[in-house]
Amino acid sequence: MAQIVDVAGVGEIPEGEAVVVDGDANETGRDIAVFHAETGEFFALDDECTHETASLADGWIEGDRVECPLHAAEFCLRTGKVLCLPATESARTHKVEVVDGRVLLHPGESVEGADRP
Amino acid sequence: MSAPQPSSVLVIGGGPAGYTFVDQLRLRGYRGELTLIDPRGLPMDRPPLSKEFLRGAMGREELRFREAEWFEERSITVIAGAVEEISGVRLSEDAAGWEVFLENGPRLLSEVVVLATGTVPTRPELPGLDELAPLTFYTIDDAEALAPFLRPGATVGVIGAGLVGAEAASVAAERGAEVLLVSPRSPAAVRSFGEEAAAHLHAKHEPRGVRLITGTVRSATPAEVAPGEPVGRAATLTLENGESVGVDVLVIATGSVPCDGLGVDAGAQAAGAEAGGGLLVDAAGRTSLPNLWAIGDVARGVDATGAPLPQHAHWEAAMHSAEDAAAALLGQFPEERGARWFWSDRHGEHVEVVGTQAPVAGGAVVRREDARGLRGVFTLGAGGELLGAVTFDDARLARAARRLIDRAKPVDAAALADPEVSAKDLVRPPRRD
Repeated sequence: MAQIVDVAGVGEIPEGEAVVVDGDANETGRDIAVFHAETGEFFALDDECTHETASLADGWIEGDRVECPLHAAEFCLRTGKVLCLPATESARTHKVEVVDGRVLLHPGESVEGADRP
Repeated sequence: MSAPQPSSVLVIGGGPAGYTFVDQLRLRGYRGELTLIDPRGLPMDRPPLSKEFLRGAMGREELRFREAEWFEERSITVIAGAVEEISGVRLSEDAAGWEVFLENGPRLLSEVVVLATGTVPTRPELPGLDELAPLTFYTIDDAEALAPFLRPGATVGVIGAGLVGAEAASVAAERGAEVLLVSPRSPAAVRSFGEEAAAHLHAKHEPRGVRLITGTVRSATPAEVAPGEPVGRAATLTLENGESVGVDVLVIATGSVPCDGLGVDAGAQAAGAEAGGGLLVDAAGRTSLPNLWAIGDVARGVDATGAPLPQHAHWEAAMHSAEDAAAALLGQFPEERGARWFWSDRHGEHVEVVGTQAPVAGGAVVRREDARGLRGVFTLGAGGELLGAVTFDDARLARAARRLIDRAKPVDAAALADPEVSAKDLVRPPRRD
């Protein structure tokens, strides 16, 4: 299991925005997007859309969903479940927790109820 | 409760509409026989043919929506074959259905038939064209045949500078080929993008090395080949001004027409060739014949008077029509649909289009520019509401515009024009502080 990554302070990622934790830094080899949903919660998915090369962190974050910036495939931030075409494969989730105002990412540790554990 | 389910449903056509339809029908609880027929077998996506696939950034198998196992798991029978004819038949005392005739194959029976046959490219009236082997962007084979010409030293002629022609020219130029792009209009694709955005996009061709000819091609003469060799793809084009230009391959991208023959021959009401073709359908996709539905680009909606609506042959619209038809077939309610959206990629720029770009009396056109250049062109209505937007490499701006269009309320034109106002802030309610 990869090391826990201290991503940022809670206030450093505005609601509806996301930051990318580099694949080398998170030791999974794949970039991970950490989202601050409009619900106030934090979620993390593999940053690359399962359809083509696009960064989900650049997508449109609304409610607990993110819409890919390239072809508008949607994913559930909670479970990674793919919600519409053109993507057909769900995104990998990674556990995120907030401890003492810090956003902590557990790379490679999928969340409970993940669509693609 | 939902309506009784038909015993069998057969879908003809495996593009985005056909695939979405079978997926949705099972997701929505259909338990009867489900079959999908396409000449190429497993359903495939099309937009990449003139984009990522042509560039070599995507493989043949990646074009498939799903692999064979996925269809097996859902008891969806996929048949690789061409349908020659469908005809109405009585399946039993009280059930009407369809007989489906496959080329060199068996005859199938189904209670419901759904036509998802899409469009076929048009061919311009051009002397000499019939002797050539020009390419279009309809099939994966076309895209694969064009790929070897996308290299330095080759000359690619493209007739038509609309969405597909411009994408093909863009990829060819990016790969180092000489490109001759012929368009009767300058700018092209005003109907798709609106005047302002169309002009911006059209102006990108020449700086990227594409030779742009405004006008028409008078004739195409196949290049001479050695005795015994088949006529190749190379040709000499004679332009309107009398100039002759040699091309190694000719791409025809002059538009497409609905592939509505199966429905028309069966007696379904259609828009007719002069009106752009297509099978007339109600909001859910029912044709004028019982148990015959049409979805995607082959279908043509009608207005309150029964006149065909303008064709909107884009990917997302095709999927939505499939979802709506699947819902209606099972007696369920379709989702509300918002502003329409499509995208195009050319000369390294990702272009997104939402809503409608036709100018309206008393309306306005607003531009958003930043240090990188033009980011968006917005079309406003007389009441200051947003009707349409074209965005350039700015996904969030397109998504914000879509939400603003759906709200149908006056928008802050100054904020739209201001690149400092983020896309998210455009749709957020104004803060009180």
